[in-house]
Amino acid sequence: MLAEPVAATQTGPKARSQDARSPNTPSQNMESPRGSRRLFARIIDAFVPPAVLREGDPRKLHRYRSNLQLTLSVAAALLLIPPYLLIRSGLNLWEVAGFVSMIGGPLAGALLIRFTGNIALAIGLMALNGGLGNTVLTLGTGGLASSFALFSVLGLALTMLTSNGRVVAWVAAMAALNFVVLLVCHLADLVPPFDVPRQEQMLLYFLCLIFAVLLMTRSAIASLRARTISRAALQAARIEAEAATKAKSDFLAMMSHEIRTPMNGVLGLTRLLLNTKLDDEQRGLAATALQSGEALLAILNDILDFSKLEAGRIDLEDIDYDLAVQMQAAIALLAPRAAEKGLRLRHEIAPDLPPYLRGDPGRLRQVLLNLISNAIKFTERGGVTVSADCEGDRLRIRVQDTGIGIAPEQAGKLFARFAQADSSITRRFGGTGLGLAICRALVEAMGGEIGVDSKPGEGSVFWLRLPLREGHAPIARDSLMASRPPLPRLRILVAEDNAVNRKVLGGLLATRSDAGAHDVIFAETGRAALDLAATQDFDLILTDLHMPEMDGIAATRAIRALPPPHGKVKIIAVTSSIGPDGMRRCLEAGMDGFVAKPVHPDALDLAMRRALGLAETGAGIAAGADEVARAADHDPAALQMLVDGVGRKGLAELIDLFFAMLGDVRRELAASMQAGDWPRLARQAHTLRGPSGSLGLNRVLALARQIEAAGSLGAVDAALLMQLNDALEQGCVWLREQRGMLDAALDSGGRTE
Amino acid sequence: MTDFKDLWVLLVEDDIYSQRMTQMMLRQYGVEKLETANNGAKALEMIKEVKGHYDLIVSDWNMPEVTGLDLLKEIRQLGVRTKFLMLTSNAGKEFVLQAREHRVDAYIAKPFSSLQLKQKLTALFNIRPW
Repeated sequence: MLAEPVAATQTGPKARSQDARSPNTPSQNMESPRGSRRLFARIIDAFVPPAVLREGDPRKLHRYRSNLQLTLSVAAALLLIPPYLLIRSGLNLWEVAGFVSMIGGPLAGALLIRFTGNIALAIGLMALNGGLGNTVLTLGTGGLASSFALFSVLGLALTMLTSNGRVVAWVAAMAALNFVVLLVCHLADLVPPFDVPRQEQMLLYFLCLIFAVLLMTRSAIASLRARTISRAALQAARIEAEAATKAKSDFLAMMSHEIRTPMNGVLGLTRLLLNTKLDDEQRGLAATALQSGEALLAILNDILDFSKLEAGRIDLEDIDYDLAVQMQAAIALLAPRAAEKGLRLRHEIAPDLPPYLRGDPGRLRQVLLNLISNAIKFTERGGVTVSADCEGDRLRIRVQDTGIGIAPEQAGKLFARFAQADSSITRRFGGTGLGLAICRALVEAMGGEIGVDSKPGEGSVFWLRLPLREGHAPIARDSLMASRPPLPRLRILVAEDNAVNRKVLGGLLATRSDAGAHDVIFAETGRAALDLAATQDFDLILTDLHMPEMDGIAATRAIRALPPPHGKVKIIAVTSSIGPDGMRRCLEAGMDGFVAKPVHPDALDLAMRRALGLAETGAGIAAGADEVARAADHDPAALQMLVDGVGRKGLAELIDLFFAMLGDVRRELAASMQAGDWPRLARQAHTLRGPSGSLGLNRVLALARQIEAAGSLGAVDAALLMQLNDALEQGCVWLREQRGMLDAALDSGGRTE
Repeated sequence: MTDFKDLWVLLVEDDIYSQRMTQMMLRQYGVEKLETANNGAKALEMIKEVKGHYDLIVSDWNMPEVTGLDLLKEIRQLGVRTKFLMLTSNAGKEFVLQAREHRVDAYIAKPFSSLQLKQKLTALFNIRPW
């Protein structure tokens, strides 16, 4: 009711638990109750049965106190009646009897409670007596109006005194009863109503009004103050909590960053240590240290990831992607791990799913990787199936395993941070317990939901539902795949001593060729690799740097020393520590490229293309005339790569920038040609390199290079410039087309520039 | 998890198109603290001003007056160990070795893809590629 919060300070559990005997000691930060209240509370406690007080059960105490509050405050309020009766002329018997009856009820009730502890009986008695007394009194005072006035004053007084909703209800019930009685009396012509003199009625109303206004004002102020205080306290608490959460997240993010740097140092040094001469025991110890360090680093990365998510510092991409590609990428990475445990790893995509979706493929893949690797971790036999389908307007992805399963009561906790179904799981399987919390945060950030259906012993289905947003085909989809020249089927030697890494590379190479799986031969030591390279023909060697007997660098030197063609084979280092010094040593030994561990499929593809001299836009070798002839004029794949790098809007901006600068460049080219200013011509041609290379204008790029090279040596053939102009014209036409498609895509994607 | 947010990066590039493109790419990877110099001299000034406290300098090689290599030489002489990523169309081995001599940390042949740049950054700062 009106001032509930204040009442709570009086009888709330907190006050009681502080001191059962004097429960009204105000808590420090709350409003200090008035003296009358303290007195009233002391009187109330005097009526609580001593046994209940001794027992000190807060719920029981509360029940007694609130009921006593009702009875005693009704009794107290009824004391207002005698002065009124005295003011009235002529005290009659009805009035006295009515009053005694009314006040006798609650008083007797209070005493009943005190000595029998029977609350129900006390309230019943009070109601009965109140009802009777009220009737008698009303008949005595003889007026409906004055009776109502009396009751309104009583009600307000009681409300103020007790702030107890039940008191108000009691008063209302009495008033209603009163009304009924009077109505009956009036209809039965028992008592003439309204026989109280008019002036007296007016005086009574006036007094009532003042009293009511005073009480209401005070009550309103009190409740407002209480509410303001509690709201301010709430607000302060919320601000504090938010600040604490943010501070915690910031701290975590910073700390994990700070910790990672020295951790990388420790890991790197341990790897170096493993590369030195060690006896078996030392090697074992160092290897364990490395494993532990790597596990720790993984945990740190999780924490960093999660704290960023929690701090809301995550930006989701909104781009078109091919779900099949993302699923395959996740599966390809985990296939070796599944194979190692002898598990099937399958994926299915429902045919009714749109071919291209829109969203953040990287984050989706992160979630999938997490769910799939969990499934593999907790499955001993059987397999893991990843499936995607439509469910209404949602994309549903399910990762189903035949693993140990999760008890239903644990399932809900799984997605909370640091939770694993069972703490023994942590001991048995490791992990931070953050993975699923990260998944949930990511999925929720994408506007989706994630959950699990599971039965212990029968396996689990982790599912996620995301808004199904149909995407557009990436620019020039048809030519995109075709334009990156297919990697021919290669004969590849993989030199790697670690069995797991061999499987990973084997798995990646199995999916890397457009012309079927590559022919892959494995060697476990540098020596074995050298022997194989000396006797067989390979297109490519992928070598680890740290191997027993002969390391990757020594093996590369030895292979380079072989007579051709064996000495000419392309060699790519697959290495986990790819610092500049290490790179320098690799290049000096004659290697053709690097791939960092853990091996990213795209990075491997890129490194292979680059080492083999197959087209990828970063080939970066000075162009000759034959390159001009060979290269496709325009390369949509380059544009696609640029979109990956800068987004569609970014690409649109870059194309516009290129168009804007083109006029000046062409004027300058023509002017310097006419003037025979070759260095200036070379400089202008050079400015075309950046845009033409990144926008896939291969012919322009090749010609610009030729002109630049020629210009820096001496005279440039005017025909070359004409060819360049020609190529620029065609390039612009093509770019405008692409630009138009971009605009269409941007518009239909609901975005404007 | 890629996290380049906290890197303080100076981009040195005179060509307006390449400058814009590289800025976009770096921002796309989450680089927030990105500054740009239009030429080598300006870059040198900026590096001195912050006492070499950039985490990474991404510089074009081919610039008039102070070239990327001059810049690299100069700051290494000043004892600045900031990671230096050279972007250049000089892809020949002799160029690479020349830059290595002055302790370049990474080298990307132009034109380059966003993936290449990202891989270099990832490798330079030892950040997981996923």
